Amino acid sequence: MKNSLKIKKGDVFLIAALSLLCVFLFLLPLFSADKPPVASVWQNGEKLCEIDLSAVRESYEMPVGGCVILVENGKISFLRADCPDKLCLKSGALSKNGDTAACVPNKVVVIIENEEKSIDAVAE
Amino acid sequence: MPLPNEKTKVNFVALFGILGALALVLSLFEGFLFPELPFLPAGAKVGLSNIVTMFAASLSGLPGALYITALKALFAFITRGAVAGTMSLCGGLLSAFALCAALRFRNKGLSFVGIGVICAVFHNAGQLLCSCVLSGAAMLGYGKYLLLFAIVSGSLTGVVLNAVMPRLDILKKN
Repeated sequence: MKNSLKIKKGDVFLIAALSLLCVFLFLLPLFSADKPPVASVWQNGEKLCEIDLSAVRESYEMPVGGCVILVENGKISFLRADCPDKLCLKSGALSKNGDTAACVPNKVVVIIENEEKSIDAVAE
Repeated sequence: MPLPNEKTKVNFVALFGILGALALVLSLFEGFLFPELPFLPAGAKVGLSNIVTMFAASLSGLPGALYITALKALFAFITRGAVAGTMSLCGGLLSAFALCAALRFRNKGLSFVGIGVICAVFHNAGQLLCSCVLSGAAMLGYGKYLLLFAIVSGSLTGVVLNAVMPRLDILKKN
């Protein structure tokens, strides 16, 4: 039985090209993986604050919009949200570069990014 | 698709009624099917109802795809709220146009697997753009997960259509 899935050459090329792009996007953050994770919290498209997660000694809760964000040593997660779908809670704890969680209804985004740029706001 | 007589018109209306219902049931069904799988990116869906969109588009081109898209968006709006409805509409519209462009290459190097992947990638791109507008460009970091998932889910829906389509092509002749 040959090619029972009826996949054509173009399909293979397309999937291969997109997979390569995907691998590239996933590998990209690894180049800065050894730096401490810095979480930035955004609301309405504006950056509220940056938190150096490795410097967090005691975990604390941070209310943003209709969400509550839990900040811990080395990780950050959505704790509660008043939105209907709770997708932000499903994202779990963020700890690695490039990790993202968002509550679109409340317009709150948490992303871990580490660029060479200055990190000005640091939590105690 | 030309409509030469009354009987064809009636068939057409009935067929698209069924397709619309099918799309809604599939999108509802997949909500039950994969609600909490931990390895899926949050909010990602397999896009089972894209199967119906692709079928409708291959029957009647862009109008068919837009009809299913509008229906799905309305359904999402009613059942899951304004944000979900807008996201569904943005993703659906972009993927409907991409789908109709891709359908020109059907049997010219692309099967429904490739078309499904294109459809899924553009669907997710539309939703990503929409969420960027709603909550800021930081959402772009989510793109790689959506791309990965679109490749998998698009292939899946494509395999289903490759299997089903030859049997359904008779519908075009009625």
